[in-house]
Amino acid sequence: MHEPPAADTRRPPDADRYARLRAAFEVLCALAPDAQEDWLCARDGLADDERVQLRRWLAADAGEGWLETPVGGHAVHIGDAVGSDDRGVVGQSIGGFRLARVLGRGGMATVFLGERDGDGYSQLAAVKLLRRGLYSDVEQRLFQRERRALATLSHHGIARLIDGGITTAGIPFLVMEYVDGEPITEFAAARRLGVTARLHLFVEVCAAVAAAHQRLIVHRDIKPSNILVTAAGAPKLLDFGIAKLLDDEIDGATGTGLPLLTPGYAAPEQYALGSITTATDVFALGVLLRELLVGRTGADTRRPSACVDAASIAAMRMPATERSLRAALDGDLDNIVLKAMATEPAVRYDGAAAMADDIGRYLRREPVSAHPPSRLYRARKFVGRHRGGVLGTLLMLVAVFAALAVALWQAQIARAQARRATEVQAFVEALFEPMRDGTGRDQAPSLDDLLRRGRTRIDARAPGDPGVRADLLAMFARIDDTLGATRGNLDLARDAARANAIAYGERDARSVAAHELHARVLRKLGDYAGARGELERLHALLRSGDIAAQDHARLLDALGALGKETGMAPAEVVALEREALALREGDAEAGNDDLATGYNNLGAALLFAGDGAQARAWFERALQAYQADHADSLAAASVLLNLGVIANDEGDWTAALGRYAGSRAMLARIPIERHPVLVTVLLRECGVLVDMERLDEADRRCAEGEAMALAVHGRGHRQFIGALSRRARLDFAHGRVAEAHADFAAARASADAIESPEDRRFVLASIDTAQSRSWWLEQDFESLRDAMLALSSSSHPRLGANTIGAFHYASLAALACARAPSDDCGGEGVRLAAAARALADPALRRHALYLPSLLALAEADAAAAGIDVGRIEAALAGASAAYAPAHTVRVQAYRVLADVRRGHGDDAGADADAARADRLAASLAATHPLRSRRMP
Amino acid sequence: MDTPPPAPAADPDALFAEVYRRLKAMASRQLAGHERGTLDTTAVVHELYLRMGARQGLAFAEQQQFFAYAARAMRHLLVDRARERLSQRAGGGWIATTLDAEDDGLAIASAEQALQLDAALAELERVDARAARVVELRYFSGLALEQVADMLGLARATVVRDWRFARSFLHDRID
Repeated sequence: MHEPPAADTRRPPDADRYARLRAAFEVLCALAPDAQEDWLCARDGLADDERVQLRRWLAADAGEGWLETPVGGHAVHIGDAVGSDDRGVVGQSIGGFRLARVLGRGGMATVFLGERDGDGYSQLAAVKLLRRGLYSDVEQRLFQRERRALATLSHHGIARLIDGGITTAGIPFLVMEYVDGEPITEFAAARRLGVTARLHLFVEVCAAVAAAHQRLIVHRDIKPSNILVTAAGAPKLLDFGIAKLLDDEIDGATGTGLPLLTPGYAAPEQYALGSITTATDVFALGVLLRELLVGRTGADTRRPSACVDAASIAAMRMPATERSLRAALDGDLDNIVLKAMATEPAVRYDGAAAMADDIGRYLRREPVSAHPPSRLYRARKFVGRHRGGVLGTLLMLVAVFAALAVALWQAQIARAQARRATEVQAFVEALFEPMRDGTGRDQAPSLDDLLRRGRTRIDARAPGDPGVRADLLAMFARIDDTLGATRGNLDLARDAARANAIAYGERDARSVAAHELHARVLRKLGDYAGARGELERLHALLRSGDIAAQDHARLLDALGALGKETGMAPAEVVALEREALALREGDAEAGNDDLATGYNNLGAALLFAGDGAQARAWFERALQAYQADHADSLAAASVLLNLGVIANDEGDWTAALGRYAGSRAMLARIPIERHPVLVTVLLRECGVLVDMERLDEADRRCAEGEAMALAVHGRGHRQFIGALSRRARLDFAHGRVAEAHADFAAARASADAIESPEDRRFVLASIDTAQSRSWWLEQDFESLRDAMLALSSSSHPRLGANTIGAFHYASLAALACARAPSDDCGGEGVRLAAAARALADPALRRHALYLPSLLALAEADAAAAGIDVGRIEAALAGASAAYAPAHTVRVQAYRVLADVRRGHGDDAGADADAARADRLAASLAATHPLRSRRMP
Repeated sequence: MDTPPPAPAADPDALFAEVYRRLKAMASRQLAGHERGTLDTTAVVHELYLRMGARQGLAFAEQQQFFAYAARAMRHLLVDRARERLSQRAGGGWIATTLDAEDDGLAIASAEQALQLDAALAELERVDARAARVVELRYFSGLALEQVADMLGLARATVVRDWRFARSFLHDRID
């Protein structure tokens, strides 16, 4: 057999220490929780840090962590389809057991006796079938998860869960150990047990419940009929955790709108729909103890000793008189029952173990914790135990107090983690309780519903631990943000930021992340000033805080990304990213990926600042760093995309296409078939292909991009809107003018619905630039003028002078103002002169938009713009890469050339150019505006 | 079910690479079909087993070996995915002209957790390779502890102890 590769089997230097710790951990695991600390303290061979490590492991051991559930789960399909009518079910086989007869029927489930034949023996089991199926994925997953948790619950006092699953018909079933016994109260009566014997029996029940509480499993429905005692006198709990497993069904099944509970045994928080925790079971145990001791059921809040009466004693068949029973209960047992049944869960015992301990102490005549801890009381107990020879031991008494205090304090710390986990778990589970309004009974709550309820619950029943509250609020704010909700999210994000600051301090990474989220929500809502304010405070916090380098760098990235959209000066964004990169480079643990991320983000900042050359260098470096570890990765594909964007912005369309195609091919190799990056790649390829009028390829890419934008982002998203406006450009290039208008209109209608005003402006402006060419070719100069003037005067950080290709739109504005002058155009010829000056920059000559810009100015007034035949011919010759021989820009160019030549009296040349233009135009669709119209 | 043909001798690294490649392809297909991008790893591993074991007749002399490879491969796959997500968040998502990736906070959180788990598991591997193997088979391949015991040829009690310890060790490192 081959060994899997990569496991390092060399003996590490600290192997001895590890072996010692591991051995100690195993010893500790075998001890009762309260004995662990004694052992740890008494052990001489342990160093202090080793004790600390062991305590941490024990604390981790006590929690039911997420590792318990394998990553992902798979639905079990066992057994036959079973309908809701259980009469026909007897004789069928489920989970390997033949259903022999009905043992009992409950509100939502029927229990059958199951038999399985083995080699010469027959195994019995209780098979529980739900009346109603779990139809939704969520329900089934919850059920399976719980079932797995319960399957790990193994204790001699708990009826084992043997199997369980969901039949192909969606009916959940559970196979449990079959217990032949009688309910605990009946058992106690039949054997005429006295107070002490009943207490011993009860302690055993507590031990079983405690074992489950250790795994954070709560019974929820402890009552005599769920505790059977076998003929040998061993109590066994049935239906552990089943109540929770079934909770989702109850609403639908009974129609009462209340979760499963047994009146009389249910704790107040179960009625109030509060969080169910181990304290809920403690309450029921209190009720059970009272019933065992005085024969009274129900949540009676009187002291048990005050409820004693002869009739009950007779009914319990307890060998006691009223007086002797009252005397036995008065004091400690009264206190124990009342503490367990306290209305406020936090006042009750911390779990069944604590309750059992207290009863154990009572049985050993030690002080019980349920008693008010007066010194006199403790001393009296102490003297009671050590009758005779006591009085020289005042010193010892002090030592006992000290040890007790330390033990309590340490237990507190060890349990804090587990308790937080319980609280969060209980809270989240409570969300899945049946919906009380709105949705139908068979419907699983939607994510939105859950979020709404979760928020209400945090407000109404704030969990006691501020950390829990902060974690929950942050979680809901994050989910909400992911779902794209905004208005309602603002309060939540603000509360989350505040709660985190209170719980963990302003400088904690969690607080900083919560503030970042708040800033992002503000930005989404268009409150740019608010977002900026939050970001600047954050930045200051980051500088003074103690946050791990990589987290710090990520937060700086987030700040930069937000800053870009909230009007932060480009230089500031670059400075942020330089800071982030320095952090990454200074972190000894940073890998190639971390560094690459730093390079890429600095590149993106530089690109934002308009320094394409430097940006490209950083992107190239990022690509190299990413590929040092893996040739293909999503990150590397993203950098390729960024490089394509730079090439595109610089007007090198063929280079851009090459990068985009490279990115797309890499994504296909990974393989990533659906992803936001792929959406961008496809849409950008589509855009360039349309620009270059490579229409066959464009048809394919644009359709792919649009479909993926829809699948990944949905209809209202700006990427889908971008896909619509590209489709409109494609329509126009094909000559489908009417469709193009309709698609542009559709894109605008969607853009109007964007909530953030800044985003809306940006997307609308993008649609304007997309439509500029068709307005020009259709000679709709009013529309062109208004759009281009608005664009050039925009104060949006990414528009105005910062618009990509601003020089081109300035030349279109000049043309539109020459043809359709308006007051907004400024003085006559002013725009033309400015655009001509801008276009004189030699760096622009290689830009793909140089030729059409030149043509626009020449069309406006060639002489005034200083454009002659030679310049146009040079531009035409230089643009062969971007514009194929039949490109419509060439049609425009020859027509402009013809006009310029005619103006100079060169009629023959003019005729030749006009003829060339017409020959090219002849292959255009009949509806294309260039087909018929001669340029004026 | 057909018995697989006798296994040819194969290079373990090549086998591992093959398992990994197929796992990755299947995982990404499964992800593509899911709206929320959840990965049912147990199902993927078992499906892969059926495909490779039964149909392809690949050189897995024994089931044990397959699951050991698959668990390791799944661990690598999840870490790679986590890295991709995190780099995605920090990297290409923010592009100067079009803002695309709305980062998924939940996915990122679990991605970070996946990386932490991997690091903690590497740590455990260093001091206790057997316990780390138990975690891989249990957590990444989704095998029951009894099956893990069978796979590793250990007593069930040993595996239970290993698992209990490894769980505490990992939670302590991560939580």
